[in-house]
Amino acid sequence: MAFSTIPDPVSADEAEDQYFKYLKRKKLWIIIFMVTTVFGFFFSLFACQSETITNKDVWDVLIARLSGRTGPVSYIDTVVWNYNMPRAIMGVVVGASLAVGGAIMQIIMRNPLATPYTTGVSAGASMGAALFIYLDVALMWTGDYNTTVAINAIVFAMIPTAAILLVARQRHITPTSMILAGIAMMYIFSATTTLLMLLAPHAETVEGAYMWTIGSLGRVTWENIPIVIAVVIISIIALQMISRNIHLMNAGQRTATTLGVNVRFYRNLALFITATMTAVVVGVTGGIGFMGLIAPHLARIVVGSDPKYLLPCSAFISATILLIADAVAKTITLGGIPVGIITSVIGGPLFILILVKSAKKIWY
Amino acid sequence: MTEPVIEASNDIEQQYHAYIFRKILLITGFFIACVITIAVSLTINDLGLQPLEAFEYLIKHIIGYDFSTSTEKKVDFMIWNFYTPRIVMAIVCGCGLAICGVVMQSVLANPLADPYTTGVSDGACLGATVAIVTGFSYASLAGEMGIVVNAFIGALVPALIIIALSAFIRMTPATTILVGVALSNVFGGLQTLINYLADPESLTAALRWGIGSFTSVHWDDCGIPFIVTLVGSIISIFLYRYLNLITLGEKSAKSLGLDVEKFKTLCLVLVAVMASALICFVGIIGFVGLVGPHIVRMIIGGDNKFVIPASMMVGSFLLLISDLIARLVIYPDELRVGLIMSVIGAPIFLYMIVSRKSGYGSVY
Repeated sequence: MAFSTIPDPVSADEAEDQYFKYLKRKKLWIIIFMVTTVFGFFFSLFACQSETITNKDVWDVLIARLSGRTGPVSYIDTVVWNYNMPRAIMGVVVGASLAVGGAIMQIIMRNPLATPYTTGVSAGASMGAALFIYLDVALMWTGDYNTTVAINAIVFAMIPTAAILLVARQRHITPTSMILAGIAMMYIFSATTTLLMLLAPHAETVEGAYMWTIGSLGRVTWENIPIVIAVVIISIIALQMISRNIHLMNAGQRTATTLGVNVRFYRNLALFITATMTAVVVGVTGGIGFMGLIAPHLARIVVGSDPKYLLPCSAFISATILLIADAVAKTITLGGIPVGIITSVIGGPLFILILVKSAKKIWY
Repeated sequence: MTEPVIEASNDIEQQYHAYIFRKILLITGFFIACVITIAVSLTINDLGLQPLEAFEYLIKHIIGYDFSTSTEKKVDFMIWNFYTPRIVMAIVCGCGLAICGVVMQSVLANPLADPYTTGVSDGACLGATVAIVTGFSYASLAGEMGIVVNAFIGALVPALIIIALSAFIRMTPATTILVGVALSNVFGGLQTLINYLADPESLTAALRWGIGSFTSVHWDDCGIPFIVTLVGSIISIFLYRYLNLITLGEKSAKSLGLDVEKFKTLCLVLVAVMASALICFVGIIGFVGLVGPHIVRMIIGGDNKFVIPASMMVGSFLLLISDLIARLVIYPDELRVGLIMSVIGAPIFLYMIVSRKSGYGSVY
């Protein structure tokens, strides 16, 4: 029994072979989830909330639009191109960004509970939104209600993280103290939001602010897609580039320092990028919870914890789940339940099932 | 913190006594602070009593003194029936939630754990929301008691699921936390779904229930929380040795002769019952269960023999002072106690984290 942990001796060639097979399997998983994302994209696109639109109509609109023909603006065209298309694109972008943010946060905080919101991003965003919805305080009035709320939310979402980065300038701050600082910031901001709620003059505005915080892809329009996509793609590429150094932090701060990583620099950089990306996404969609937590865990089960593979894999998993959840949300009710509810209610049991079934030790 | 220099056994003994003395000093200090806060709380009202007079009335009432004049009878009635119940409730909730926090953080070996990690708060909210929005209650009694019973049963459901799961599979602390978070999300999602479909007035009522408050506490409400907290605190004070062991990690605890599985189940049941019994009467009071133990550990270290009683004192003090401030800010109206605690406590907590020179949290 005691000796069974020692593996059978293998030759160098064989070991190399096994290693490449191992890497190939990981890449295969990533490709599989890439395919499921594409599938999810079309699934979401075709899941229209109206029965009068057939699959052929959707194809017609797509072909017409993609070939540059903008025919007469019809009902079908509006639903497919102006409503479902941005929603599906945003599903991919939001899913990917939350998952990558979650994976990065879990690594740098060394805590399986960390999410992109651990530093208080969503609490800040909610407060920014509530500030405008309840009291009409806008940082920049753009003329459009949703855009103004989004700008408010994005700016306020950055404040907690900025405060934590200031805290992190202290020499001896551990991941634990960072998490605790994040919790403190979260409490401050959510308490202020609640205070605003109690002071709100009308019950209608309470409902409006509450609906904003649930998180939905329904508010997405073509106007806000380019900036979100740009921010998310740049952030994900940057995070992927520094993922090597972040991976070493898994071994602990001291070990990473010994191995030549400037821990503080990379940690703060990763925190900053993640917060910016999450703030932009949350500002546009509201707080879609849970994907940032579970997608990295699901990915860790199949590809292990090397961020080089973990980040793309969790991004695709998350995008797939979010797209399917949104499609379900659109299909089962006419108005469309916010996707945040669906991910929680359906994702929760699924996650527990996978946790219980997987014999692997994911953490520790 | 300098290394203690070993010079003579006499010196070490002195140092040890000083060390213990500091801990006892902290507990006494917070006890005195509690008494002062109670005095202030009883003094600032429409009755215009002096602190000592107020205590005199209380003691006289308890020993069954027969008040002669009608003014005295009126004052006694006011103090005993309006001001004392919420003070008692604040103390009970402070003690109970702080103990729950200590136990959860020790058992799950995670600084982020709090009484609500197993989903108790979201379960309670779901139960209360169902009662408020749909009028459905497990209890045939209408109105207030219906909400309480629904919240209590709702709170126990997620905790029981976790305990039942841990009977079938071996759960690491990380798995327990993740399952708890998943369950919180499921129950939170269902609650959001109900809120989403609710009308604005019920939504506001449901959201307000979620913010803890002592406003409508009567003597009838205090009985069950008091008994549960009393029993729970006695049990956990006797368990401090085992809590210390399990903080070292499950493997170490096991090799030191602790039946980890049984002990964990016991602790989870204890926390679930205590937390549910408290929050179903007063609503969700966050922060104290999470931060109370951390404040104590930052001052006197991690020995649960002292952390448990000290946390009880700190928790009571936090709730008493927050309740006092909540009453005073917009006197004669009042704010919510949970809100005040977050707004005032969180910056102090943040300061405590930042001002520490050595890395806090290395125990985890």
